[in-house]
Amino acid sequence: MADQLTNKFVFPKTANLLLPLIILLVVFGGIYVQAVVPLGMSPETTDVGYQPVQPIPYSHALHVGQLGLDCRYCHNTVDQAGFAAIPPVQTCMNCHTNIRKDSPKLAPLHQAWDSGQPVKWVTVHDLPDFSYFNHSAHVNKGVSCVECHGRIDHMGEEGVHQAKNLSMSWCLSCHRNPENVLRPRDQVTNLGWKVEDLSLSQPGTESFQVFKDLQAQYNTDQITQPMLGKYLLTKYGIRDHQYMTSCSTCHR
Amino acid sequence: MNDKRPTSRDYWQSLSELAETPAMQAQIGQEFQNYDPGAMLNTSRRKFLKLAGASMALAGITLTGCRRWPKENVVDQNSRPMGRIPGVPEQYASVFELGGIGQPLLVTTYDGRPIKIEGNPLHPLSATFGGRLGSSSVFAQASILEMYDPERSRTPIQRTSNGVRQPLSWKSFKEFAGEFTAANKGKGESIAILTEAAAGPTFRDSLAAFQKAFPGAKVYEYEAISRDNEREASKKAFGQPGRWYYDLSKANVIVSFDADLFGQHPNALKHANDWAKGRKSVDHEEHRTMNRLYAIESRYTTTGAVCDERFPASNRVIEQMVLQLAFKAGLGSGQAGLKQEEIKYIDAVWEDLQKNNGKAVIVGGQHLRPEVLGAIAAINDKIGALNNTLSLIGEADRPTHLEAITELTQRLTAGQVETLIILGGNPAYDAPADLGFDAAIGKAKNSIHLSLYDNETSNACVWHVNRAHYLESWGDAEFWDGSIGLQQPMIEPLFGGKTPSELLLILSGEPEASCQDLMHRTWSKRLNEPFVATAASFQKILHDGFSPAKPTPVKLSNTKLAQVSFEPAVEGYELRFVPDSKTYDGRFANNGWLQELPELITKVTWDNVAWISYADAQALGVKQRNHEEDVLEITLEGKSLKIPAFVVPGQPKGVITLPLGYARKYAGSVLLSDRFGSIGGGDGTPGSTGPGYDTYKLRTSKNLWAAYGATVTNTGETATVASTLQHHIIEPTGMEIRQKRIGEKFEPGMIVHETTLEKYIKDPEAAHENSEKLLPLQLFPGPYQNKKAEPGVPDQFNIPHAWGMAIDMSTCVGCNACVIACQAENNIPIVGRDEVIMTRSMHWLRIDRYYKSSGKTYEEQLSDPNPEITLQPMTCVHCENAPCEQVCPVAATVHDSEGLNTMVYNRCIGTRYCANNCPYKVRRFNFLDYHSRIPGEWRKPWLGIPDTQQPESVDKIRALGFNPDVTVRMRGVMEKCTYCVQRIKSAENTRRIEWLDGKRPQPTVDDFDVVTACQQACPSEAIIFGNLNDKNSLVYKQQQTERSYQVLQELNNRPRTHHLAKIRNPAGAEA
Repeated sequence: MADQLTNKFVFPKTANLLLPLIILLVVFGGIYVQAVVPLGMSPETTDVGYQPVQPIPYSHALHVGQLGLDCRYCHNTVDQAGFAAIPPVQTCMNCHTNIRKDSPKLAPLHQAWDSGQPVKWVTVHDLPDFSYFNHSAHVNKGVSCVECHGRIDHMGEEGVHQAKNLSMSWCLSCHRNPENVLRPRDQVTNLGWKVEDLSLSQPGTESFQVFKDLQAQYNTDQITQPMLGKYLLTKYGIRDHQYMTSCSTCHR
Repeated sequence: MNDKRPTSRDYWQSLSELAETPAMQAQIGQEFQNYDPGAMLNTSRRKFLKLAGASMALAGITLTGCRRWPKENVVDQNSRPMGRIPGVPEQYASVFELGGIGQPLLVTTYDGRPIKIEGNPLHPLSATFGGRLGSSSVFAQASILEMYDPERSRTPIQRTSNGVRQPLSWKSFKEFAGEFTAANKGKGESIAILTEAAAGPTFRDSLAAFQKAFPGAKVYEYEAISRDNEREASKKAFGQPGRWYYDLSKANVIVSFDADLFGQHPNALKHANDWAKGRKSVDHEEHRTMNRLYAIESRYTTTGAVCDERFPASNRVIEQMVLQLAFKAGLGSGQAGLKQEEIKYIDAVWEDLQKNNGKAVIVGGQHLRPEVLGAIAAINDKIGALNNTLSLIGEADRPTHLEAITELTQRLTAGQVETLIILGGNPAYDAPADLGFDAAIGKAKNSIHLSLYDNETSNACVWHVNRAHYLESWGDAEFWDGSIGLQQPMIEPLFGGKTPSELLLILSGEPEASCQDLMHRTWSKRLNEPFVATAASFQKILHDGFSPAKPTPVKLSNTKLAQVSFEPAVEGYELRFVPDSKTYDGRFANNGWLQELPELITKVTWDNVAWISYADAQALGVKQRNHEEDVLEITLEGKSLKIPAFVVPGQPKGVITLPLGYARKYAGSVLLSDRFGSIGGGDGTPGSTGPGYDTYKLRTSKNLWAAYGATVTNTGETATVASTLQHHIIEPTGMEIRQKRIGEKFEPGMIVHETTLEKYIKDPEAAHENSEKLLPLQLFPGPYQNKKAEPGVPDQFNIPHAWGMAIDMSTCVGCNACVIACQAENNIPIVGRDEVIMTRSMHWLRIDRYYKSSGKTYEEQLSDPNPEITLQPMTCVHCENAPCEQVCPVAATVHDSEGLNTMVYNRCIGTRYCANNCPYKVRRFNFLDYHSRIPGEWRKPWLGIPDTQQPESVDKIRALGFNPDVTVRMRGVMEKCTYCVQRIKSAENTRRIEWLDGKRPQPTVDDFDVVTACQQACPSEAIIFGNLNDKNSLVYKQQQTERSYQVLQELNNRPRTHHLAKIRNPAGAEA
C-alpha cells in the first residue's frame, strides 16, 4: 500500500534521459543567451543604419556632395546652439521658388509653404533624453560633422541614415582622446577632409596658419593627426580628461 | 513626556523634538520615516517569488535596449523670425499683478514656451546685486504653473434656464454680447461691474470706454486682502489717499507693528533687499554696523523671525502699544491697561527711535484700524521719517473695498442691478460672510464672470467666461512705487481666453477688439505718439518692461493724531485673519507648487490650521502630534468652524491666527483629484470642498482682520495635517561618541552658528565658539586635508572652475522664493498631501526653521512665550569628501572636476544608501512617477505589460512647462540639488566659444555668469554662488568672512557651500 502510494510519485525510467538534455540546454543555452542577447541589444544592431522615410526625398548627396552647399547654409545655428536646427521651409524656398518648382518630389514643400504647416521631418540621430549633446560645443572646437554623422554628402534620396552607434562608450572614445578627431575649425564642415590635406590649405585660412605653425614646430611637411591633435588641444582650449569624462558634462 | 528633565537642547524645530519623545528619537535616524519594510515581509514567500519572477520576465521583454525609442518628428517654423535660434532660451520683461499691484518680471521662454519666471533686474523694486539680478515673489514664480494648469477653464459656460451648465463656444458668447449691446446701448443704470483690483492704464481706459458706451454703469472694486485701512489712514493723516512707501535702506531702526514686511507686503522684495543691506554692513572690516528691527506681532511672521527684538501681543494690545508709543512721542494720552513689560518694551523702542531720529521708521500692518495707522503716521512725523524713510505714493480716491461690495450687494438685493459683470476675483467665495453676496448674484438677470477657473462665483453666475492668463496677454499694471509696467504675451492663449479689457470691449460692441490694440491706444495717448507700436520710446518701455516715469511723492507734513477709541474688552479668544502664505486669498488653490510649499513657521502644506499658543493649548488640552492634530471648534457670533489646532511657540496667548483661502468648492478638480484626492476643489458633490478649512465663514464685514470674543472648545476629534515640521531633521551624527571624546566642554549648537553684534565686534569668532573645539577632534582625520594634488586625480575639484556657494543666515528672510525657484528650474514634482505625510516631499532646497528658547528645564523651554527663530536654508552642500558617494554601489553619484557632487540619474538603481548616509538630509527619492497624472499606475501599451517609459502619462499641457535642459526624473531614482548644472554648462560653453572667437581674454566664466535659480530669486541676496578659483568673486569673499562656517564641519565632509553665521543686534548693545 505504502509502496503504491510512493510509486505514484516516482518518475518513469525514461525521465533519466531528461538529465543530459537539461545539462545540454543549460550549458549551450547559457552560451547562446550570452552571445545573442548582447548582440541583439547592441546599438550596432538596433541603431546603426536606421533610415526612416522622410516626407521629402531630400538628397544630401546632390546638395552637399555635388552642388557643394555648406552644412551651415541650412543648419545655420549649429555653431550657436546646442540644437542643430533643421532649416525652416523659407530656406528651401530661397532656391526652390524658381528651381524645379514643379517637381512632384517637392510637392510637400510647396504645400507646407502655402498652408503654413511646416514639414514634419523624422529625427534620425536621437540621443536618450538624459544625454545633453551640444552641437556648438563640438563644432566650435574643431570636431567635424563627419565624426558623428558620417559621410552625409554621400547619402542620397533614400534619406539620411545613422552611421555611428551613438552609444556612450563611443562618445567616451573621443572624450578620452579628443586629439584623434580634432581638425582646424574652417574644415569642420568639409566632410571629406583628411589630415594630409592640411598642406594644401589656402593661404590666409586658419588651416594654413595651423599648417605653418606645425611645419615650423616639427620641421616637416608631413603633418600627422597626432601632431595636429596635440597642437589643437592647446589652441582650442580643449579641457582635460577629468572634465571631459565627468558625468555632469553630458548628464544633468 | 518627562516634565522636569533638564535639557541641553538649544535649538529645536518642533515641540516633539524638544520633548525628545521616543517616536521622535526613532525618526531622527531615518531618512524616510514612514517607509515600512515590514509591509513587504507581510507578502508571503510564494507571492514574493511570483512577483520577483514576473518582474524578471518583464525586465527581459521590456528592456529598453531591445527597442528603438519612439519615432520623433523635428519641426521648425515655416519661416524663422530674425535672430531666433532654436534651442536658445530668450527672456522678455513682463508684469505679474496681485491685488492691484504689479511685480516686475523677466520671463524665460524656450522655443516659444515660457518656462521660468525671474524678477526684472532693471526695475529698482526687484533688482538685487546692484541690478545684476532680479528677485521675485513665490506667487509670481508659481504663476507659470497656473498657466500650464490643464484644469483652467477652456470655454465660456452658460447656465440654461433649467439650471444645467453648458460649455459653449466664444461665438455663442459673442452673439449674446451682441444682443446685450443692442439692448443696453446708451443706458447703463442697471449695469454694474465688479472688478478685482487692477490699476493698469489700459484696463482703466477700457473701463472708461465701457462707461461711455453705457452711461450710468457703475464700477465696484473688491479684494478680500485689501490695503484700504492704509489709504483711509493717509486720507485722514495726510489729506491724500495713497500707498505708504518705506525706504528701509535709510533706516537704522525699523519698528514693525504687526506688519509682514518681508512676507505678504506687496513691496516685500524691496523691503527685504533694503533691510539686508543694513545687515550685510556687519562684514565691513572697520565699521561693523547693523540696523535693528523691532517686531511687535500677533503671530510669528517672517518679519518676526528675522527681527532683533520681538514682542508677541494680541491685536488689541498692539493697537494700545501704538498709542503708548504716540504718548511717549508727546501725542495723545497714556494707555491704561497695558502691562508693565509692554510699557517697558515701548520705552526701550522710543529711546532707540529718539537716538536715531531721521534714520528710523515705524511700520504698521495693513489690518490695523485707520485711526491706529494714523497714529503711526503721526509718530513717524515726530521721528523725522516723513518724506525720508516714509513717503506717500498718491492714488485716486475710491470707496473702500468693503463699502463697494456692501453697496453692490444692497443694490443687487434690491433688484436694481440687471446685469452684473464680474471681472476676475472670486467674491462669492471671499466676500464677507454676513453680506450674502453669493446669494445676491442670483438676483441679477444677467451675470457674467470672467475667470481663469470655473470657480464658486462662476457657478453662481449665468455666464462663465474663460480668461487669458497674464502670460498670454497684453496689458499693463502699476508697481508699488507708482511706475507703470507692461505685460506682453509669451504664448498665444492656450485655451483661447480673453482679458478683462477685451471682455469689456466685446460687451460694448467691439467683438474683434484685441488687447494689443487696446494697449496701443492707451500708450499712444500716454506717450503722445501716433504710431506707438514702432515708436522708439515705446519699444524701450516694452524691452525694459516698465516706464520709469514715477509720480512725484506727495509732500507730507502736519500729521494730526485722530482720536482712537477702544471697545471694552470682551471675554474669549481673539481671532486674527491673515492671508495664507500658499493660496493668498484662495486664488492659488489649484497651484500644486504653492500648496506643497511648507509655510515658514508651521511648515504646514496643503492645509490651513488654527495657530494657537502653547499656554492656550495646555488650557484646551490640545496636544501636538505628528500629522494628527486636535480639532477645535471656534464659535463667533453664532457661527462656528471646526479647524485643527497647531501649537506655535511664540504665538501670543489668547490669539488664534486663522489663515484664509482654503476649503474651495470649485477650483479645478477633475484631473488632479485623481492624483491628490482633491487638490483645489471638491469632487463636485454638493458641500464637498478641497483641503483646508473655510475660515471665511467667520470673517464678517465688522471684523475683516481681527475678531474678539470667540469661544473655543476642543472637540476631541483629530484631523490629519501634512506638515514637514519633523522631516529631514539634521542631528549631529555620533553624538554620544563625540560627547565622550569631548567631555565636559561639549555644547550643542553646531549646526546653527549665531551670535550678537556686541560679541561679534569683540571676537569675530564668537559665532563658532562650540564647533571650533570640535575641529581638532574630527572623527576622520582627513586623507584629503593636506594632500597634494596628484596628476590626473582631481582631488581639489577645481578644474577649470571651483563652484561654491555662500548662504547668509543673517539676511535670509524665509520668503520661500528660492524653494519655488528651484522647483520651477529643476522640474521638481509635487507629490501630494498623502505623500508629504509619508516624508516624501521632493524639494531640493528647504528652509530649516530652528527655535531657540530660554529656560533650564524642558517645561520652561516649552512655555517660553517668545522663543527666537533662526532660519537656515539647507540644500546639498556639495561635500568634497562626500559621504553619499562612498556608499553608492553603482557610482551613480560622483564628483566632477569642478566640485559638483553630481547625480547620474540613468545610473541610479535606487538603493537609497546615499540618502541614508547624507548627514544633511538633502537627498530625495522618487518613490513614484510623481510627474505622471496618476503616479502609482503604469501605462500598459502592449499585452498588458507595464511600460516604464511613459511619456504619454505626463499631461501634455503640463509637459510644455518643463525646463528642457533638465532631465525629468522617473520612478526609482534619487535626486538632489545640482547647483543648477544646466546653467553652469550653458554659461561655460558660451564663454569658451567667445574666448575662441577672440571676444574674451580668458575662457573661464566671470562672476555672475552662472547664477543658480535660488540666488536669482532671493530678494535679500542671502544666497551667493560662484567660482572659488576667482579670488575677486563675491562668493569667495563671502566665504572668507569670519562669519563663514561649514555645517557639520567636524565630520570633515568639506562642504562647498558655506553658511554665514547669523548676527543679531538686540537692543542695549551699542552698535
